[in-house]
Amino acid sequence: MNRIRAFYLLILPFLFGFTSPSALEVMQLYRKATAIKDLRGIITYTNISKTGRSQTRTLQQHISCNNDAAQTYNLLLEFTAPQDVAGTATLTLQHSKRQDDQWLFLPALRISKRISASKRSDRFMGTEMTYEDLSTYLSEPLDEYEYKMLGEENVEGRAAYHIEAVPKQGTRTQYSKRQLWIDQETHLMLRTDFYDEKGQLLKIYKAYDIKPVGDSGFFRAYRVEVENKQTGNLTKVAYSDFAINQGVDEQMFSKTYLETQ
Amino acid sequence: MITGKGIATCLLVSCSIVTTWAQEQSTKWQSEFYGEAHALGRYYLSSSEAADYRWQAETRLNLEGEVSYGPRWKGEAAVLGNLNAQHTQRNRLWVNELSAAYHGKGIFLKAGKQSLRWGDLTGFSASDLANRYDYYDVLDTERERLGLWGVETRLYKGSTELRLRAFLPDNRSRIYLEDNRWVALPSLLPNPQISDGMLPAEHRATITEFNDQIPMLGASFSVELGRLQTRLTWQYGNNDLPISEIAPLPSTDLPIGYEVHLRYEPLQVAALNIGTWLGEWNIWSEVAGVFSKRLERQEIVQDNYTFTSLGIDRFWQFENPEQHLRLMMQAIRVWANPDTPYLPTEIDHIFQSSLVLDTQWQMSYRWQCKLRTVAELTAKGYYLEPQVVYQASPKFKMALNASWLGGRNSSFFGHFKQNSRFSLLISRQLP
Repeated sequence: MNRIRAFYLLILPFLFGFTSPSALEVMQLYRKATAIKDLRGIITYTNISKTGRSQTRTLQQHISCNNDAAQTYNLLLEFTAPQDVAGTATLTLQHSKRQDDQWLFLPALRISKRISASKRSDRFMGTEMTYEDLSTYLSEPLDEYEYKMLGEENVEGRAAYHIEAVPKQGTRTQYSKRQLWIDQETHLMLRTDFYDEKGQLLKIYKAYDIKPVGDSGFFRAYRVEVENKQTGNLTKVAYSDFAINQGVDEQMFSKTYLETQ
Repeated sequence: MITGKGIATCLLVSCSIVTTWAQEQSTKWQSEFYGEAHALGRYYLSSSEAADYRWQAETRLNLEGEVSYGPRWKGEAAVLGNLNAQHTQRNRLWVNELSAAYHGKGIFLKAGKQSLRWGDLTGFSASDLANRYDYYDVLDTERERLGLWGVETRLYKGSTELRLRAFLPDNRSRIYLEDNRWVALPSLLPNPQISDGMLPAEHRATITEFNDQIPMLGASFSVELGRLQTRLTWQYGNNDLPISEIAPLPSTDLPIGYEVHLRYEPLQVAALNIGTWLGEWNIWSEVAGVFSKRLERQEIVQDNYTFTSLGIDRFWQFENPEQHLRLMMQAIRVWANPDTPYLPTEIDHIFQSSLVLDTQWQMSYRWQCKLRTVAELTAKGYYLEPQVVYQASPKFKMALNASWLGGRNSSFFGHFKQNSRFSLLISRQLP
C-alpha cells in the first residue's frame, strides 16, 4: 500500500505538469496578457461594406487604467486622417458601478459635448466592433462568463486553446455565446466567433501579426479583421506605434484637453 | 592623471549621452502639415441692385502646420490665400493663425493669432454674435472665420473649467461695401431743397470710428452636475458689425459725394447654457442677455434683448456601415421691444422667432445629402439649403448646393431673395 501511495505521490506532479490548464486558468492568463496600465498607439481601420466600397480612417489612441481592481479605463481616441474628420475625438471614462462618461469633440462646432454613453451593442466608429467588444478585449469580465475548454487547435499556424464562453445569468451582453481561441504562447486572442441572441454565427474576429511591443514584455496583434457573417461587412484594422506602460499624461483624459488638443 | 584611454572612455560616454538625449528630443518633436485647395463657383438666379454680377468664382489655398514638443507644447500656423479675378479686394495671402499653446496640470494657455468661436452651443448661440468673419458672403461664413490676436487661458479640474479670453481691440470682421450683393450703398440721396426729390449720389470714402477701443474679453465657467452640463459665459467687446451712417459731402457738383461712417459700438452678452441627454437625444438650451446698440431714426440707441434657445440633436447609424444620419433642430426666440421692429439688413437680428433644421444623411461612402432650413416666423422669411456631396476619392470632393431665400421683404431672407443661388465647390487635399 505504501508503495502504491509512494508511486502516486511520485507520478502526480508529472501528471499535473502535462495536463492542460482549465478554461478559466487560460482565461486568467489571457486577462493578464491584456492587462495594461496604459497604452498608446495608432489605429488605421478600413470598413469594407458588402458592396465592396471602403472607407479608411486613422486615429491615435490613448488608454489608461483608472481602477486596477475593476479594470476600467480612460480612453481618448482622436482621428488624425483623412483631413475632413481629423480632430474629431471621443473621451470615455469607464466606471465599474455606474454608466460611463462620454464626450464628443467636433472640430467644426469647436465644442465638446457630453453625450449619452454608447450602448454596448453600438458599433464603434462605424466598424464591425461594438463598444462591448472593445471593453471585453481591454478586460475580459471573468466573473460574468462560464468558460468551457473545447480542446486545442491550430489557428493560422499557432497552437491555441479553444474555449467556449457562455454568459452567466444576469450578464448584460448582445451575444448568446462566444467561441475563443487563445494563443498558447502569448495568451492573446487569436480568433473569436460571436453568436447572436438566436444562437446564429454573427461575426468572426481574427488577429494576425502577433509581435512583442518593444521591451515591455507584452505582445500585441498588429493586424485584426472582423467579418460580419450576417451582413457581409468587413473591418480591417492595422495597429502601429504601440507603447505599453510607458506612461500616459493623465491630463489628456479631460474635457478641456479634448477641446484644446 | 588623465590617460588616453580615460579620455576615449569619457568621449564615448559623452557621445552616448548626447546621442540618447538627441534621440529623446527627436521623439518628442512632432510635426504635421496639411493643405487644401478649393475652387468655388456661384450662380445667382436674379440680378441685384447692389452688384451686377450673376457669376462668382474664387479659388483658395489653405496651408496648415502644427509642431508639438511632447504632450505639453504645441505651435500652430495657418496660411490662407485667395485668388479672385472678379473682386480684387479678395486677393490676398495672409496668416490666419499663428499661436503657441502650453498644456500643464489643470491649466491650458494659448497665445497668438487664433481662430475661435465665442459661442458654446451645438446650434447658434447669442455669443456667436462676437465671431469675426470675412463677410464677402453672408451665408457661407464658416470657411471665412478670421484669426484674432490674443490670449486664452483655461483652468480646470475634472470637467469643471474656468475659461478666460482677452483679445486685441482692433479685431474686426471684414466688410465689403462696394460691388457686393449683400450691401447696397445708395445711388440716390434726398434733395434737401425739394421734398421727395432725389439726387444722384456716389460713395467717396469710408470712415471707421470706434466709440471706444475696448479689447474683446470673455469669461466662462462650466460645471457638470450629474447629467446636467452647465456653462455661464460673459463676453464683452466691440460689435464686429458697425452701425453705418451716410454723410453727404459739402459740394454742389453732381453726383453728390458721400462718406460712409462705420461706427463700432460695444456689445455685451451674458449667457447660461444647460445641456443634457434623454435616451439617444442630446438636449441643450440657452438664455442670454444681449446689450448692444443700433441706429433708430438717425440716432444710436440702446438695443437690449433676451435671447432664448432650445435645441436637440441625434446621430443614427445603420446596419449598413456606409450610412448614417445626423439631425439638429433648434428653436430661437428673441424677446425685444416689440415697438422697434428690426430692419432686414440688421444681420445681428436675422433670428427673431426661428426654427432651424440641420440634417446630414450619408447614403454611402461616396454620397452625402445635407439640408439646412430656417423658418423665421416673426419677420416671415425662410431659407432652404439642400446640398449633395460626392467624395470622388479620399482627397477629392465636390459639393453642389442651392441656397434659396424667400419670404416677406421685412425679413432678412425675403429682403435678399434675389441672392438665391447655386454653388459648386471642388476641393482637393494636398499633397
